Amino acid sequence: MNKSSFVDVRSISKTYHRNGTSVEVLRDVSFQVRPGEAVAVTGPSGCGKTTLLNLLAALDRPDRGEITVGDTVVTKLHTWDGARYRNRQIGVIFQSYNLFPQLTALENVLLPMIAAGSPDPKHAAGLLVTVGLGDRTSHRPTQLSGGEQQRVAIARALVNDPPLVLADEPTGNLDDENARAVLDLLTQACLERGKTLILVAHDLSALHKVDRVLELRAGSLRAHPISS
Amino acid sequence: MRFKLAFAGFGRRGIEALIAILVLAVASAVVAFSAMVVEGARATLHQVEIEQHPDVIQVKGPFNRALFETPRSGYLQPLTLPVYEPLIDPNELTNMAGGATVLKHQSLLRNVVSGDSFLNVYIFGIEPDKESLVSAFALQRGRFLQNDDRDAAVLDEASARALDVDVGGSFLVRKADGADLRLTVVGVLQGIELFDSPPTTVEAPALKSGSPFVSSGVFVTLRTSESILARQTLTDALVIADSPDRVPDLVTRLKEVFRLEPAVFVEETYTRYLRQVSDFQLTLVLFAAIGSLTAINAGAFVAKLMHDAYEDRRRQYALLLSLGFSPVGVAGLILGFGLAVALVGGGLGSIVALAFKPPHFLMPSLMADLGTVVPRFDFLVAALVAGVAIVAALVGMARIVWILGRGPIAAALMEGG
Repeated sequence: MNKSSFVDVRSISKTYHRNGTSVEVLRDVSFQVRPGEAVAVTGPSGCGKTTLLNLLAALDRPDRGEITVGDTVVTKLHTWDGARYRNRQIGVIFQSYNLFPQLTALENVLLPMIAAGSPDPKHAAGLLVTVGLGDRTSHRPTQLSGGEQQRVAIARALVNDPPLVLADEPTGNLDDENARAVLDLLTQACLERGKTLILVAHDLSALHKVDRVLELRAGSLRAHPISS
Repeated sequence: MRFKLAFAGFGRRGIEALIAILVLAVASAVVAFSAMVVEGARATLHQVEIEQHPDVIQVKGPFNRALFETPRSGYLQPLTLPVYEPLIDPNELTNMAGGATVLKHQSLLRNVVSGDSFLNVYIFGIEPDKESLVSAFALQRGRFLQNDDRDAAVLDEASARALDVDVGGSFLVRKADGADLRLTVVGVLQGIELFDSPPTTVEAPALKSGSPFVSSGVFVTLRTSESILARQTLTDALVIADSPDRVPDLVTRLKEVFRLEPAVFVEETYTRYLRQVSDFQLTLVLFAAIGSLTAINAGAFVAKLMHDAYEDRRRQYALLLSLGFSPVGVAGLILGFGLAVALVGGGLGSIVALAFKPPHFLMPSLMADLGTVVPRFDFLVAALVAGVAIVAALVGMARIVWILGRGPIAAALMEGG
């Protein structure tokens, strides 16, 4: 791994087999991300952006290639180590928020801490204040707007202080105004805390705050100039 | 919060979980009741086996008519009469019985003068160490007979009172040769449960008044009774087979031995017992089948409901894994929900079965002779009900656990969303 990179993706390929047909989603994809860098991965629907994020989060395995995050070789993690890696090393933000409807905002934020065995409600509540939801801690997801739910998800992703944040189209379900606000919040929070951010996004115009844009097309990756 | 993760937020599927609990409760009640009847019947059969001794074969000579002719008044010489004709050769019997246990008896009636009237006392020559296999003796004072006792007797309270003797005392028995034998009392019994006791034919002291069978007597060792009767042949004997199913074979062999002695009767209760037990067991099989079919049907239905509830929840479980929860922790949540449904349903069913169980379950006709079936709830019934409920819940969760355990978490996240 390049000493200056925090995330090192090397020649990964992934093919899905379904109903007798094979779809090669990622083909020999390689890239590096420096510590504290914010990188956007973009591309058309179905080009493998979410698959790439799933591989980075050890939620799936590549057919070939290797992924290293910090000192962890993600592609060699076993089930138990995968859970620990996700809990300690990364924070994941999904497009559809993925909050638990039966839990309050505070409880949702606390979940990764519970998984780690060290729940700290004060810290979780503080993060909710940071994302502007200090007065909504006891609200359930159904009582929150889409933008608010995504802010809860951001707080949840940051609560264990992971060095890497993976966001899968976090603004995909939001209107322009909310999308801008959430994106600002996410990039700002990561920047302030020195987190490495890999952001999957559809809309290039919303990516003015990332350091680099990588474009996936037909399973292959290429650098993309950031539009001003 | 783990409680909320395991049990809250099911929405419409929560109603299915409730239905699953209710179905499980009804099914568990049926299974529990069937199992309770089967368990009660097993206990009855066990009791019947203890009481009826289907493993015992009775060998006896003809009933001695002389007993009927025993004078009840007037002054006569005391008599010592065998209750059954002493026709059984003990050695022949022992040889033919093979490994079976043989209880040799000499049953006598002694007719004595007591004041100005006659007193009849039954005397039983027994082997003390073996007799308690089939008969019960409740000692009040003193001790019971020992194999090497000579001229010693243990007698029941009623006979002791009639003879006016107690432990340490003695009384005379006229032997067949006309001489008197003095028996020393070593123990007094307050209760006797004689297996295959002879019919009461003459008035004698009795522990159970009005009983058609002898309920009292003087017990001596076989050696002593041989001395009284002046012969070794037995009046009756019991052969205890190693197991009840060996009885027919033993009976055949015993009848072969005594074929030249047609007055020796070989009787067994095994055949009748077997017929009764077979009917009984068939009825139990029916109950077991009802319980099993109910368990399978209801279990499959509950498994389907649970499966739907779990499928609906699959994304949440996958999400927990993606947040860093260990697979075991997530499996614990899945299992917790399933076990809770299973145990609540099973528990409710068991309570209903217990609340509405009849005090007695009446078996029809022939089987009723074996005794009353008291449905009983024991560990086996509880384990069966819990087992059915837990298996149903486990089957319901099997697919989701398989998917989460084997497939990539990403797939579960995507499919659920």
